[in-house]
Amino acid sequence: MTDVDPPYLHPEYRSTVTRAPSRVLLTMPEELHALAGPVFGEDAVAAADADLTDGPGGEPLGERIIVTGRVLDDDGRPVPNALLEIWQANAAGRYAHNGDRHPAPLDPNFTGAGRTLTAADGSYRFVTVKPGAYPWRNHENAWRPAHIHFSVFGRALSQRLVTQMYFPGDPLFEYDPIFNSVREPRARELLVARFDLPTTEPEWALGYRWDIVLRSTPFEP
Amino acid sequence: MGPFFSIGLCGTPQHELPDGSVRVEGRVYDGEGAPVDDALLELWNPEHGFGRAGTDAEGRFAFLVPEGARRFELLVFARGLLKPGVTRLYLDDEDAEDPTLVARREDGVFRFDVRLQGDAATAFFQL
Repeated sequence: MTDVDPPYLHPEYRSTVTRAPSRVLLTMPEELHALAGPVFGEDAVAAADADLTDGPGGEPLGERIIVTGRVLDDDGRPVPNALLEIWQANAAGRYAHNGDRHPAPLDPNFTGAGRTLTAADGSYRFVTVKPGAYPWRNHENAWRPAHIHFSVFGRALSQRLVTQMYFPGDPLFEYDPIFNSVREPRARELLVARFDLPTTEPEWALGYRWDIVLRSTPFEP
Repeated sequence: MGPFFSIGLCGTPQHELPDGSVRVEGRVYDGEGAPVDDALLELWNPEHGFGRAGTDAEGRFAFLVPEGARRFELLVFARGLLKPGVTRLYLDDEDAEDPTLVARREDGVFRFDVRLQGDAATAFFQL
């Protein structure tokens, strides 16, 4: 699946110039490829962790959304008990992080962090607010399209994935070097969730569906 | 993965592995020799479990690993890494694929730096 992965060095994304590993990569030892991943039990993840709008002080501002889908391997088999961790900016495009200097308001009711484990059929579901676009200093007038960061632990080292989910029709796609670091247009489409009316709950929240496909592992699930 | 991952990935400290008693510490540097202050390191080992630590403003990280551990798989994440750097941390140099993967023991503490680029750059594996 290397054609869907971005390269390390993508100079349009300026930080890669000084951070992309520079040495020729060593061949992966066979046992490393097959190394089983850490197992996260249900005790590590509370059901409430999948609802980012469930703050102690009240609901965050913004457009409430449901993000759901399945984690699959590239043979189409569901990956159960995969740990998903997400983080995102608030509806105004501001992260609840000291390093974020964007002059947009923080929301006291939104940390922007969530996690869950996939069910037996590989499915997951988060409730959150739609993140805002925000500026960054990569180049003149640079703005990131709205996105949610996803970290995934599948069953093996080869199934460790950190990626970003985008929203359909974002006008910033063509200007964003991170989105475009995935060179294959078909692969870029896989980063974009689709609006889904059946997932949408009447009088409550818009629904988006986004499936995550991991590599297959050398061992059976 | 951007500089703000600590919102989602560092909620609970995980730098101490089960039965961790031996300190492994070091720094992460970029190609200009500047510390990488927004890196996240993950240690994987089938026997010794999983650990995760972020770097501080000086690029420093630290883990506590169990006595007798000899090797960990190491994933390095940071702003500017479009996919994780995949490498190994050896606490014993018998089998290391490359000298840059071996931690040095000084006063009971293992020292291990990650250099993403440069003459002494760390070896990474193709995943």
